[in-house]
Amino acid sequence: MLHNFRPLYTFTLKSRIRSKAFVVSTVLTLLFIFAFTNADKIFSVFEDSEQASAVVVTDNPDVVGTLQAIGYEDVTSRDLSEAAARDEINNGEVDVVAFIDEYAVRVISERPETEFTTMLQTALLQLRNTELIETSNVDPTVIAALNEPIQLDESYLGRGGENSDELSSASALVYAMLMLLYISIITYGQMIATEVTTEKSSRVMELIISTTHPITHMLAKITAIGTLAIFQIGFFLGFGYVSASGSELATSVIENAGNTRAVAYMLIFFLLGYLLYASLFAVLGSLVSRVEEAQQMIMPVVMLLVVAFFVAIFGLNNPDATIVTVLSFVPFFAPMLMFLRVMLVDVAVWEVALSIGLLVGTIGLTLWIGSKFYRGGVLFYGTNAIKQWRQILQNRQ
Amino acid sequence: MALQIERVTKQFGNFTAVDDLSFHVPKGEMFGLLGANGAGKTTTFRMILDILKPTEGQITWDGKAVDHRLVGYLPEERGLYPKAQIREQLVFLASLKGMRAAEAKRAVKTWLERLEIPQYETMRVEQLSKGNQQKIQLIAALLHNPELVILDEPFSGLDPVNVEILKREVLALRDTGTTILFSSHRMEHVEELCQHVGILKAGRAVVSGDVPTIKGRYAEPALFIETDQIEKIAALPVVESITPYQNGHLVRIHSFADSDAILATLVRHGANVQTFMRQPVSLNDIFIKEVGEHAS
Repeated sequence: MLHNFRPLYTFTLKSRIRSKAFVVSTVLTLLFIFAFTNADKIFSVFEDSEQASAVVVTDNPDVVGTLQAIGYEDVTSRDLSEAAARDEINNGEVDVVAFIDEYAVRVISERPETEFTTMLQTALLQLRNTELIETSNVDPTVIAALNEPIQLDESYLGRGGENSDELSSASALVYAMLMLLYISIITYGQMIATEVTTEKSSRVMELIISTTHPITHMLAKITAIGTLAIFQIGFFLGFGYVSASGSELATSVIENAGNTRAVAYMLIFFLLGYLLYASLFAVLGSLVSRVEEAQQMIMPVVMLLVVAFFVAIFGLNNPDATIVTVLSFVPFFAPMLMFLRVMLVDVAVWEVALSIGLLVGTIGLTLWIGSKFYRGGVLFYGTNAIKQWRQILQNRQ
Repeated sequence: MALQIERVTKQFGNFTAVDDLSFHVPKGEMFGLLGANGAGKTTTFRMILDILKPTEGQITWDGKAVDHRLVGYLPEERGLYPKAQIREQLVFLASLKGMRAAEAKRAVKTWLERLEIPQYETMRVEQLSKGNQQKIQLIAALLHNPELVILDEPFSGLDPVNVEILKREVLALRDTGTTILFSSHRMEHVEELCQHVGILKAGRAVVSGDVPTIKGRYAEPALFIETDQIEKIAALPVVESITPYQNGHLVRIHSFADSDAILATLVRHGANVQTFMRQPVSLNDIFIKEVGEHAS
């Protein structure tokens, strides 16, 4: 049955990689990943990071020193009248002037200078505390004891992590995986539908289908696009890792990636999820004659995937919810939800086995039903899909 | 033996596309399948190619089920990837028929040169004119040296120069012993190329056999006469009817044995006779007679 698999696989992969759309989308995605992982650095380039030049009018000689000690550099102490201060601000010589009387402050500036006022408040608070402590002769150990924070040490007995750090990094991995699964199934699934529809609309299908079993053809398409997906995603991940190196999400995901159990489940559910949706997309693609129609045709499946994704996001914080448990056995939701449950709560082995079994069965069923439609489907070039299905079914009788 | 279509019926729901069709194509011969649009030609081809399963009946090649690797197919509409490179997709299509890549590459080169388009080897199909696309399509059908070639409307939409090139290749193919089955609604092409024809009407073969026999069966004695005094023969008992044409008259008679008497009558009256010939029966006449006016 797998006769002709190889030429179909090779040809599909080759023409995909060579296509302009592929090159353009790869470059754009790389740019996006770079921008996303370096967002803070990029924003900071455009941000006005210089501190407003400030003048404090005060009798207290410690104000400037304290401000500079907590990080406000551009500040000097001078004696100014309010009129002179207004003039200097209007002329742009200074940005902000603060008149300090004991611990009361009056600030004049062109516009709000929040960074300066916040730090000034902190500095003055510090100065006042020191003064109060000194004048009231409080034992320094009492001060230290007052400032001592409460110690909190949590232990979680559920799956996913023994303490809060591990749990949040497990959630981060699940979240990253859900995103990846969602985006790649939509992207590569559509590619498969388009691929099949293009072959049909260009009538090459008539040449192919006379030599090749429909299941072989579908599998070749799914595997070729799958190979493309693995390499492209791997490439993107590698690039993203290098580009993001050091960011919090990256570190916690990498930490978890060392966990073989997580990686194994991820691969299994990723693969099965891709196979299920890909075979659905291939079958739907064979039922329409034009690429524009393919988009419409796969819409319901895309919606299904969107629903699965949102339930999974909800499940990230409520992995024990009944709806998550129930849907984790439904094949279209299982890849996301069962993976989530396995990672975050205790799941019996039979539950995982049942979920995977149902998934595999559904994939087989989809391919089988698809092969019935396929041969008939590729020969009908009508625009009315429902009428077309009826014709195809009659044709198979 | 040969290609044998035996009592084949194909139904789509309540619609019968092919109805109890039988014909056979001897090895090395060219068979023309004629018929109006929707007569069942393409459905018949698709059944031979095993794209569709017959509802009833049998199709065999050499007494066995048709092996797709031995068949080459040129579909009615272009069946090529518009965006793929020509050499690559030809090699790919040949490999589906079990041909090795290296061998296919060599064959592509040979064929492109033979059809006088070697410069298109690395171009994309969408960059080519319709005639040149059809040449590529023909190469796709012939690359793997099939024993049976099915050509569905190979000449439709081509200019006369390309029609001639394609005809030349099809004839060359027949001379190498390949069996060819092709469909057309252009009678003159069929008449020029085929020894055997079948005319389909609503899925049934209304006429089938070799061309001279069919013509013999349909031949009615008629003369084409161009003269200034046609009325002189109107009264003759051997003349059945006279139909005026652009530059002459079609005169139906009882038998060609009477043509001498008719000519003699004209000469006796001193008529100026410019043309006096037997009217040959054409496939077109037979087709129109059997299928109807709005056929081609």
